[in-house]
Amino acid sequence: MIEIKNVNFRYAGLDQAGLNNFNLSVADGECVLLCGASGCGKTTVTRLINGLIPHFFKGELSGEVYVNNLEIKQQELYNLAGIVGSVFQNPRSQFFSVDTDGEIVFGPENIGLEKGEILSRKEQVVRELNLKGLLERSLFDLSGGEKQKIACASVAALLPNIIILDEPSSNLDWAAIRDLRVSMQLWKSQGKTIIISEHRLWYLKDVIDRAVYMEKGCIIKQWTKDEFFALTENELKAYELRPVLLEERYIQQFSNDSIPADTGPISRDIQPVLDDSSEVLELSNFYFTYTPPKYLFIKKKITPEDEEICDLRIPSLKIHQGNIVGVIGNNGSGKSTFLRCLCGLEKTCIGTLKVSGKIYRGRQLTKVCYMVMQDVNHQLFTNSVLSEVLLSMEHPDENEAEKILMSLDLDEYKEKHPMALSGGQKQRVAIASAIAAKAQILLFDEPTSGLDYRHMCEVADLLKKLAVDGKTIFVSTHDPELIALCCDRVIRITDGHVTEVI
Amino acid sequence: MEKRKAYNIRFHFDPRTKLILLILFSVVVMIDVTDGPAYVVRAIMTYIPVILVCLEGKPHIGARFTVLFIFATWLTEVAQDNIGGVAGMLILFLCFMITQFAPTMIMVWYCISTTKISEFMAAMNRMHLPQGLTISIAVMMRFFPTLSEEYRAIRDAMRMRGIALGRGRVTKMIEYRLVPLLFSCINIGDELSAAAVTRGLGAPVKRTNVCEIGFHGMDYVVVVVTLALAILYIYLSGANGLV
Repeated sequence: MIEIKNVNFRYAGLDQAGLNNFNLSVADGECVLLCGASGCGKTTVTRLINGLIPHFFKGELSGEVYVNNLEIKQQELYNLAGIVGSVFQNPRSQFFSVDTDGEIVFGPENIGLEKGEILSRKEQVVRELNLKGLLERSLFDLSGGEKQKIACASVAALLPNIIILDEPSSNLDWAAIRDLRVSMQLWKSQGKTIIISEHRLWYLKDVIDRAVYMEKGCIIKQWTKDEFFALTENELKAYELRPVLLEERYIQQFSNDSIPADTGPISRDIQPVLDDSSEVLELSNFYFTYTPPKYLFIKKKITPEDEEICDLRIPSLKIHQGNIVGVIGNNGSGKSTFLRCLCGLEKTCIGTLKVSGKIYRGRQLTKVCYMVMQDVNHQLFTNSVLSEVLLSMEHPDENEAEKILMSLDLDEYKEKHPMALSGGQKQRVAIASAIAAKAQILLFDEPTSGLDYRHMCEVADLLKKLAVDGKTIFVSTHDPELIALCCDRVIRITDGHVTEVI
Repeated sequence: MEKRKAYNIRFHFDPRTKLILLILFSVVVMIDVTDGPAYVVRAIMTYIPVILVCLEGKPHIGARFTVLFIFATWLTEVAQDNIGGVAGMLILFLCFMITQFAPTMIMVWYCISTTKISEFMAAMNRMHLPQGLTISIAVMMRFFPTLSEEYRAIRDAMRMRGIALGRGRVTKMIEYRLVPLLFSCINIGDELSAAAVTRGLGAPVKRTNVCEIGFHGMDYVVVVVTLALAILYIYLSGANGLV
């Protein structure tokens, strides 16, 4: 039983969304979805329940929060550990151990349970969540989805009655999202109360009992499960929510099931159909391996004959210039490797790229291609937006830089520190520096993970605008909505091959 | 696969054993000997970490080190007599790094890469060290791989922008690396502590540890052998009048 009564909250020193006279009560065993645009206060609500507010995030708090009749304010966080479990957005930053076994028992160890009890809980969780194959592995070698599974297990091992999930699917692929849904269904069948804050809605169809829509720290509307999934596309758009139901064709595009493993060899190296109307971009011999055969001190240079051992194997691919190409495939299929090779980050990749008659290879690729990384924080270096753009120019020219900023609606922030901007603005700064570097091909690594519907549409519009300006764009994504919004072409990568072109 | 597993069980040392080995090696590295019987003892000691690494399924590291070690020893001999001046000094310095420091570095690498954090925490508990210290060190161990992941991503981003060398300015080169690194580490650190406290870290109870640790036959063997060699080495180098 969760009771939130008349809560007002402001973060101290942080420009994050607070709450205004917020009331919510959740019955035992209920599964409630919190939805709404970024900054509406969803995450703040989850933090009220798991006690991170007021014990970890400080601020002005008034009103009362009761969980299982305990007032959160009076409790210490470690007392809540066995009552409320939390799974967070970023799989990379929520594990404490470096190995999977240690992570699953981390919680029970902390609260000082007996050894035998801990081991039997671990066994139970491993069986329930089907984690046999993940035991005794280094967490740093796991995919995002696998890490998120371990995070779920680590929470479940504390046997909490209430489980909080804060945008858990943001960094997951299609298959991992399904696994997440299975875990949630299991918890539901065990009678646990679940609170989930999320932008991706389609996978929650058979899970949630109630949906709560928030804006600016208040509840605007509540739906029952049936009402919510009966909302039409236009109604959802009015609330700026992502689709609740995905059309069958997307499901086929994305799920593993469309390529059953046992129907013989999968078709490989398919070429998109091209017409003669526009210029063509030609990739050839994109072969690359992370583990080249080694001699004592040097690594062997790979050739197309080494296809067997390669992690990326694309003999040839032709794309129209000015197209937006969606790159799909499960985590670990070679999508990111493909993008990394294409923008010249993997020196040992032997591929060449032909653009307007010129051939680029290896390091030269960094001159024509530019990748906007998933975590844009890694690629912002200077102390103002303007100098960030100037840094990319071969001959710094302030007028030119301001023009670029203007075209991306960044001119009003030009003196600001890039780290002080919002996620979407940072992304645009990275794009501005790509344009300044005169890159003709822009690569986006999952630009919409964790974005709400409105921001996703903004990204889609931006990509279209860049394409109109003549840039060719490759965008790797797990969001079928984004593909529907802007992609001209979709290539699927499976096991390093291009296996499907749509 | 089966065979390798057997090795791992046989040489699964207690973290405390590794700590003792590390201390002994650090002492030995301090004393510098270039010839005589002490050098032979030192060469034998050098191979303890190398053999351990080979048994971990990394024989190529052992092979590479052997080649480098022989080459460096030979080069030291040659350079001492034939090459003078700055070049000679530089060559001697590099050789010295390989013959004197590399074994200890391999040892450090071995200890860190084969010790799980939970094992380490269990060992610290057995030694009755304060929990605050144990947790701090555990967090550091957890953070190193993250740091290197983040650093690699930033280095890639710099290469893409063509500023990996800071456009020729050393201060910029460092600034461009450190600023994003600090920001992402602060973020990760925050998220990590939030996750840890919701999982009960910091509860005022004695933390359980499910890890099985303890001294077994091989622990005693390797400690006794290394200790004997180290004492012999210190004695011999003292006899040479080099201490």
